[in-house]
Amino acid sequence: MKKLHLRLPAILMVLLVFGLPLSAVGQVDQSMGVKLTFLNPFVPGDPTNQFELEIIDLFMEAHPEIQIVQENLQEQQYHTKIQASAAGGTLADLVLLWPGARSKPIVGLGVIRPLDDLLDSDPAWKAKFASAALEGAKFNGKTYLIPREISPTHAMFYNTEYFKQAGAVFPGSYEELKRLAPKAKNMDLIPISLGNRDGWVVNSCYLSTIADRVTGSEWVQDVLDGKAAFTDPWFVRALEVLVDMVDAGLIGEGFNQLNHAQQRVPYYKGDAVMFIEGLWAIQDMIQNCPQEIRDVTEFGIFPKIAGGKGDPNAVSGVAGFGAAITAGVTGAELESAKQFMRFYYGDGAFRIRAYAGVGIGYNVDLDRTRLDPLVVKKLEFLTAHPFSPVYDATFPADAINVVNSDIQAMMSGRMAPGKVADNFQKAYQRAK
Amino acid sequence: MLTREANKRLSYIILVVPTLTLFLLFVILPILYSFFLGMTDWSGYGAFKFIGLQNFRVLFADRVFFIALRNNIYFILASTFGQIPVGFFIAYLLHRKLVAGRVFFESMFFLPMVVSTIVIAILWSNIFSPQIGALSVFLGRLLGKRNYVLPWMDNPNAAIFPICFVLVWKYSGFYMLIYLSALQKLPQDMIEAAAIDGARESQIFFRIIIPVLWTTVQTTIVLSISGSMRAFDLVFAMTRGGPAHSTELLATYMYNKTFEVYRYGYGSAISTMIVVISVLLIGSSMWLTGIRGRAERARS
Repeated sequence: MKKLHLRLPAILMVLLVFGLPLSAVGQVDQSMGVKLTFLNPFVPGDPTNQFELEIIDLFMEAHPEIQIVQENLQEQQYHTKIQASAAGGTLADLVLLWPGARSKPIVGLGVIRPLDDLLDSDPAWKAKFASAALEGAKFNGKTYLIPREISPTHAMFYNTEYFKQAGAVFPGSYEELKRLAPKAKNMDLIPISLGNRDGWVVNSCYLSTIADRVTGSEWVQDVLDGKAAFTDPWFVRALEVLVDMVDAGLIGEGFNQLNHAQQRVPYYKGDAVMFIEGLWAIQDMIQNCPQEIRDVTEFGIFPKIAGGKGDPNAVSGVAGFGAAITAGVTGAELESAKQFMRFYYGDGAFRIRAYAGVGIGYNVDLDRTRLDPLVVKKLEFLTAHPFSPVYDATFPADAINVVNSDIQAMMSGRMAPGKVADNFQKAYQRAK
Repeated sequence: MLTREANKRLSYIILVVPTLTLFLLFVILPILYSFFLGMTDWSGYGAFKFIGLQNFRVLFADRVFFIALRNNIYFILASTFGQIPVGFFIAYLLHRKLVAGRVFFESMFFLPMVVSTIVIAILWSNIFSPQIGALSVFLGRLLGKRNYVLPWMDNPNAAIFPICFVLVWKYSGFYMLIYLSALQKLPQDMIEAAAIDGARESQIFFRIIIPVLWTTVQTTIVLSISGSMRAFDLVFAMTRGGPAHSTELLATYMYNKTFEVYRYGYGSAISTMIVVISVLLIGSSMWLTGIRGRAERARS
């Protein structure tokens, strides 16, 4: 060959560049141990979930032979990705699932491994979970995820100072609640600050509890079994209560333009007497609500409605999201995954969560002095009230979508409750 | 060796085929597949059933589809009769140096275009927000009312108008830029000659400037129609199409039906309709704006 002295170095360079990495491939990393992939919606830097990442790090410190490789996505993207992965068969080893209708399609694909054997292997551990937690995590009688919390979607956060000034006490009946409206108006305050721009607030936080007060908790199962329908006068009555609340002046104006986070602002500013939301709002309150308002805040629940069949002490609530193991995990990886789950939902992890303000549905001793007073109230609230079903976790998304928009129109006086019920029933029939 | 001609043709093919292949694979094929999906009942998971034109039948009886279409038409009107004239007016002022500080104003008017739409949506929805928004608090102080709520925001027929305002605010800068560069191509000598001949400003404007710029106007109308039909991010971030679908757009409704409710078949039918309506509107606009050109050619 001509000019070999020029070509030879080039050939050697190419061999070097490709040869070195190739030689390394031959050596399998024995030191790495087991690797598990974990897809989750905990974005580093997001204060609401920072402690989850800390728990995962703690596990890896305690178990250096197991490496958890995470993919952290923002929540909306997480849902898109998990659907796509489930349909495409490329799910991570560990994922996060939601109870109820949200993750039902994924479980239905058969790509998630039931966890009953893991829970039954340690009965003492299993007994520490609140029944609402484990019951809520079941699909077709099998447990597919372990919820990290139980979450009431309804609590009435109220300012006790304003009640004192008005010479009133927290209402014991719906009629008493309505009588608060003129008193609040006299004090130039919004009685209840509502932000229903996204449609789910009234559904999850108001209607699920109010309907339960009127229809009783078995009614939802009757609808699912086809023995009852949304057009029943009991459900229509519940919708009428919502309209009644607006007509009685209980709800602040402009409720269709504020979202769930903005509805808290008038309360934080001292311009509203109450707002209604799930207890998840406490995490925001701890960070953003001025101390003087927090000090006088208590939680109540919707009072009894005359003629209603439901338990006046119940609140709507769900089990929260939790980790799950995908079906493709076997052998050494499965054992490691089970170890991870045992740690991730063990005493230490739940303590970290409780101190961070999560409403854990798990019995573990806590140093109550370390907890924010609001969190202490929350933990007491969790044990004081039985849970009733939450509509948007129970019924298909398409039907919920329809009823949420219709409720927005209904509360603005643009649709009759009977029509809303009718549309809901039709949408539910189509979506079943 | 190839002939010069064959060589040239080969070069064209080699240069065009890769991009064309990507375009076909990632743009045309999905659009065609979407047409097909619009005729099924696919839920995003598992198997699907071919159901012919049933989705389209349901669509034409769907009240929300027509509300969305109405809102898209408002957007087109806001774009065509808001963004384009405002953009042109500012470009004209700056080009004719009727105000000082041209570079400053150019940058300022174009600034909303470079800011993320989500940021703009959050900014303006906070300004317009009842009780806690800047506008509400300001008006409340003015009127001496605590917790003031703007009455027109709650009206489902009017809720889209603040969003149209934001749309004009955001995109006028884009059209300003297009017209600025078009104005620079004006035949200055012709304008001077007309001025010397005693033509008034308005005559120069309508008889010389507009005809010269007419193709640019045509292009900007096409851009504004296609942009309005595609509009998604501003409404999605400001109101999600609510309350009660009053600010829904075709694209947000499609998103809702496909990714939030998992009716991929129905969502695909909506997106097919977006394409069809866009093609109709753009075709009509080109025909209408082409009339002028044809009339002139007929006269000469």
